[in-house]
Amino acid sequence: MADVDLGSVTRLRLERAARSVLGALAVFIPVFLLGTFVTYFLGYLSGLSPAHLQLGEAATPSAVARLEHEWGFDRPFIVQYVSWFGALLKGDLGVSWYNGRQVADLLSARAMISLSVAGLALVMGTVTGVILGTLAAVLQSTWIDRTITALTSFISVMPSFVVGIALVTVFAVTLELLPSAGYVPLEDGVWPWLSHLLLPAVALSFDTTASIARQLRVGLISAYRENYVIGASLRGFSDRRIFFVHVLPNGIAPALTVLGMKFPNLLGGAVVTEAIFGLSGYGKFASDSALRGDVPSVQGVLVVSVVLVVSFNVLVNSILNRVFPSAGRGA
Amino acid sequence: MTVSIFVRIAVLRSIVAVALTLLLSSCKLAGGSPRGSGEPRVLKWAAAFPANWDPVVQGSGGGFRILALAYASLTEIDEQGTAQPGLAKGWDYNEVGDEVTFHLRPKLKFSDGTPVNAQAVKLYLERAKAQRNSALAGDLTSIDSVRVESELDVVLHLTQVDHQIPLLLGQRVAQITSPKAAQDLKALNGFPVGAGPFKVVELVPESHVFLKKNPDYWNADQIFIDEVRVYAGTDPAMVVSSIQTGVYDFAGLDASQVKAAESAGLDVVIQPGFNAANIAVNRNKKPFDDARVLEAARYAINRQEFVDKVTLGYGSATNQPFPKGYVAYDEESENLWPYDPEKAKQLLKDAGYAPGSLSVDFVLPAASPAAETIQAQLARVGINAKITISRNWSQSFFAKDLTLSIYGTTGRESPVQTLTAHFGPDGPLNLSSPFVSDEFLAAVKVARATPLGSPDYAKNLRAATRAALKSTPLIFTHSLPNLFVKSPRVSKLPAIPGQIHWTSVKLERK
Repeated sequence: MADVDLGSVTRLRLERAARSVLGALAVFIPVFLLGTFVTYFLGYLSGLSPAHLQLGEAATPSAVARLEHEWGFDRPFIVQYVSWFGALLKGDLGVSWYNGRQVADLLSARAMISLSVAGLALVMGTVTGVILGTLAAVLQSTWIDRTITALTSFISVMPSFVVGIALVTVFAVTLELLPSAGYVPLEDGVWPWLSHLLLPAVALSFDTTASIARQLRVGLISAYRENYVIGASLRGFSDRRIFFVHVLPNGIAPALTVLGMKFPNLLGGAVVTEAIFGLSGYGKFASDSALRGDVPSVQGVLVVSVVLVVSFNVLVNSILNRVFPSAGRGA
Repeated sequence: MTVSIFVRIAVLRSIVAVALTLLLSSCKLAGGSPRGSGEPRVLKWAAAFPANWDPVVQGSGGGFRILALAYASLTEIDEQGTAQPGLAKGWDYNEVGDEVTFHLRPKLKFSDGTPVNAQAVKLYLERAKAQRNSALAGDLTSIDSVRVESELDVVLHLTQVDHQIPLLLGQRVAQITSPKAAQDLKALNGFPVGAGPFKVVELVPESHVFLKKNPDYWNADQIFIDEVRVYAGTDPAMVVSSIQTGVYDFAGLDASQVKAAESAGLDVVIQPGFNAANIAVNRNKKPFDDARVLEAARYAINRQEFVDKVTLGYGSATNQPFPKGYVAYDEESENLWPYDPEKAKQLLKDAGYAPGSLSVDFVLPAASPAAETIQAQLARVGINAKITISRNWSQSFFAKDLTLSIYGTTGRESPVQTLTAHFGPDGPLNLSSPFVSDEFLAAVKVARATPLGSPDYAKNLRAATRAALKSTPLIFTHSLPNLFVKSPRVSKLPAIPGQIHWTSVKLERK
């Protein structure tokens, strides 16, 4: 009897997992197809040619025509797209017009820098945001709540280049505590690596801090006002139990949703921060490539961004569905 | 809902604990490693990264300065711009001047162990002339063929009498590559193999390149830096703080940051150069096919305004492709077409254009303050220049399809090469190509045929400059020296025009 029960449970779990995976794919595949098509189409629409980057002073009309033929730009759009998409499915993001390197290699060389900064910024933003949001909700309507609300409003509108320059001026130039720019790989030591990441990560984390703090505050205050919380309080449950068992799980959903959307933003949106702190990361690569008109590199960045954004959204939706089954029903 | 004091205390306690942990861990880690006197002397340089590491593909643009860390060139120039020995310890011309033999230094090796010999030079020059993606082919039209005379003697047979060859085969055009490495051109373009003052040990495109001193470099005794680390450039606004805090030791400097650098106690390096900016006008297209309109545009330009507004006072006005003081700068031509807006207006009127009725497309590769200054100055005399930014600008520019544009040269070691690039019938920078005046062709032939040591050299060169300026519609505006900022721990750099030389430069240990 027990064997039958266990088998049923396992089958049910497998079915649920399969449904979850199929659901995720049903979201991922159309978005990926549409996103990559738009990405390629935009590159095509730009009318840019590798000639402006590769021929320089030798860009005579015949040399340009020869080069464009070599790149296959004299073929119909749909043929070019199918060829590009076929290569994309094999992990080939094409070759940079600027330096002839594989775009996938150029991006992977930057992955560690961007992941380090974005990861640290996410941790900082989450920890600070959760602390501030919780504090503001728990101490709602006090001067601490008002101060936190004012602070988060202020830092959410601070442009990252202003924050970056201010941090460098205070912590690098004046106090001489941290380096003002550059990146040192982890192999050179934990502190050298971390010290180069702290200021850019702080600059980058402000937006995450503000968003999470504000969403968490609203979510927690709203949960505190629910009847089940009032009921639990009347039944004499401890404040700690009420907070951790009834309020936090029910009030964290908006903050969790924001968190899921922040990581791709941190990774791809670090253009200004990476420029200010001299980091050769993903954001700087994207902006340099766009300014140069290096279409394959920009397309590579966009494809990776599409994958990241969709993946994180699918991941967050899965977590939300798991934690709050009502979210999956759209309730 | 009232929240108990318990929750408040618990939350506050958590915050204090996290803060203390972070503080303690940072203090513990902040100690860093002690720096001993035995540590290598490392120069950290923030720079714009070259796209290509094969000098043949990279060409003679500004990126050659970074490549010069890894490659040695056949010749060098000194602070006066005079040709000096490099990999070649000397050279001889034949009596006619159409053949030159370079004598290489013995026992030199590329960083992959291949010998630096006549065969390596021959293969490099032939590759630079013939390789499909060579950016140097146009610079080497004077070289007809290359012959190996002996292990260390290489003979260049020329297409014409040309005494500029020792200047030509300097850092911009003849950074000799290892013939073994050149068997795989793609690999060479991603990882340089030369016989320069440093060897590359790590290279991540557009991120960083780390180099170590090359003990086999011909002038290694004069290299006092153990390692060079070049990082892809930082934001211009952050250069000063980066040098100030020791992140970098040396970087290019925007003119707007000079005062900040000086205030921070850093050394501003004003390196002489051959930089010159021009307005490229196509005399084959309307309305500049009318000599009066062309002349009006020349009189409309107030060069001092470029010096004040574009270079923020650090540049100088020039109506020539050379800065004032350079051997090819012609003082006689200094006042050709001075700023005279009234005369410009009159010329336009004579050409049949009422004030404001003349419009012309002004196509640029990118937005620039210089272009806006040009637009404003032309507007003052009644020419409406409509600015368009085109990412495919180079195709139209080098196909000579544009009517009005701008260009800035970083120059060449050979002044004749600079002149022919701008004013020659095939000159890539001559927007009116194939137009050329007979006077210019004759003058440049004389200049080219004049030996560098001849007492007539400067005179003939200036005559060629004069003929060039009178022939074509390129309107030169200003010259900005190469601005750099360095940490005071880096000693003075040799003031070699247009180049960055680390020979004899010393670095204090931190």
